[in-house]
Amino acid sequence: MKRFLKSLIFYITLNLAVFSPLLVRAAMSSTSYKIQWDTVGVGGEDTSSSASYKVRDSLEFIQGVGTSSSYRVDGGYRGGIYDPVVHFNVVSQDTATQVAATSITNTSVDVTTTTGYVAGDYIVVVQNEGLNQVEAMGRVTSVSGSTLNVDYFQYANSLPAVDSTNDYVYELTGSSVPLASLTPYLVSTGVIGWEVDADVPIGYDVFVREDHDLKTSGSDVINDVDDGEVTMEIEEYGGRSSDLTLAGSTFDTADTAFTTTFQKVASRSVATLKARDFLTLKAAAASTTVDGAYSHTLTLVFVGNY
Amino acid sequence: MGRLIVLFAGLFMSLIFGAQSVSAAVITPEAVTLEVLPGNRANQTVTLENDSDAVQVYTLEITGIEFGSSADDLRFTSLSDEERGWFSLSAGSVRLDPGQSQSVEVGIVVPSAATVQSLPIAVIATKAPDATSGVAVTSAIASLFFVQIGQGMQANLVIDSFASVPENTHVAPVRFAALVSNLGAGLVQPEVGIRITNMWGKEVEVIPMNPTARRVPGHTNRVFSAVWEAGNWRFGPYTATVFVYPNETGKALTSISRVVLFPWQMLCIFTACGFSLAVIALAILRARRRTCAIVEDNA
Repeated sequence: MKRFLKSLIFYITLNLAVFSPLLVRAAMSSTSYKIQWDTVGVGGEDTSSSASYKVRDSLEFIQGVGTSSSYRVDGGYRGGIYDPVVHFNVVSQDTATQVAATSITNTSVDVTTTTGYVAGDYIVVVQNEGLNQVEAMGRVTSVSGSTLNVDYFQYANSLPAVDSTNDYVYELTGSSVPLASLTPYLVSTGVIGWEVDADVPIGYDVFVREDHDLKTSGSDVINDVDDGEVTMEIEEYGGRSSDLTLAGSTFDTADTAFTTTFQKVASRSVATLKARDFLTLKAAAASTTVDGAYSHTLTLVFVGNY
Repeated sequence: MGRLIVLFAGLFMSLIFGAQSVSAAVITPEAVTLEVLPGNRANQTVTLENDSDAVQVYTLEITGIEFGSSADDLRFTSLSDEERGWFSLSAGSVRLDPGQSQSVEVGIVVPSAATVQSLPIAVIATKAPDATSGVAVTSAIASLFFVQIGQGMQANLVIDSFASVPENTHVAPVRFAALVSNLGAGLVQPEVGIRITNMWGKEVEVIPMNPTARRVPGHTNRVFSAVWEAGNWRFGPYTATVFVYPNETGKALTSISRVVLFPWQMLCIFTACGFSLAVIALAILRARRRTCAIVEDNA
């Protein structure tokens, strides 16, 4: 009997320890209000911030919203101001920064030389550069010996498998993709990446359009891809997105032609910071393709909350 | 053939501009709803700010937008020549120093013969490209105008679906998503939220799903989602009721989804409790056997 009582006490104590947290209620919202801060105190900072957040503190006992051309204040006890932050940074592959990649992990890539790379650089890792290349985009957090450490890699299906053969790292910093050479036996590629810091709760869309077809000043045109895949030795040009969840666009599933109408190339449905995606451009020449300097402009437009 | 097509100009330009990234401007408002009666005029100010560290020139244009059959499926389209004539910009391009901002007036004049309709448009500010050869890349940002021409357009909201994502999840946090369609022609910014109740019907939490008053234009559908954090110790069946208020006076639409939470922490606890009960039961049985044996021995 004594042993039974001991077991019973143990069981009751265990249950109290486990279930007591359920009695604590932290939710402070209803259909008509939401309290953003639930800690009551005295004083506080005027502003608090770091690289990833910004908090404005309260102006007590001043009710209502006050605005001018340069400020907005939501007054009242623990009132605050909300600064929607949207930063849209578009960068493109700089071929002059090519270095060979020797190995990769989820947060780093080893290269033959890190000269010229510093923390803050956007990079793209390209596996088997060419028609079937696989890419990942990251931002360098530190450089250590021959290693570029990144915050994370964004990729489409899988992280590139780097084995030192035709695998490279490029800095994404330019404002143009040269597609340096087109021959009938090679597919020229280039990467355009972008990062969005969007402090908007419902996400955003990114669209792309061209001003005209990829053409020379003499109006010789590289044909738009129309069969879903750029193929070697067939004159075709198009792009594919790293975002595989696009509605109303084929950039996620096929090499797609650019048009003068905006087409969706990335989408996020929730608030996101440091969200990245990229477009891989592919151009192939046929034996009949006319020599020349081909060019056009791609415009990426950010559309936020609506 | 040995054909070599060299886009040397592109390479040259990329070397020149290699140190530059393409940062867009900040445009406000991101989206706005305007109501204009046929025969009337409306104005809306759009403010453009250069948030880069270089002088930038932005060109402004007005284009149409439409919505596809998928949820949140915004697409760009062209305005008809007649519709394009209804809109005007006080400036076609803007040159801004770093940090500088400038306002541009968007005018809308609707002819008196215009039909009652919803006409969404976008004002797009495009940064002038730095490169002129190769594939030049530039960026743009859009301000969306939901122009309601005339009166009497009614919204008609329905909840197409409401469930946890993924369905039948048992682990917190739980993401809920509601697909809401507007079968009417009028634009609406509904209040949407989720009320979570436990197995005894007691309200546990209310979560807003449309805190920024997202718009549901006529004949479109949108996904509203929210995450219920729940915590590690909530377990058992819970009922999530999504409510959609089309407007301040409208009757709420509701739909229900049920989830059964069984986090691994609770699995550990139940295992421990089960083990404890088994030990207790075993102890009781042994004690009873011993008692019976003593009684039999005494007998």
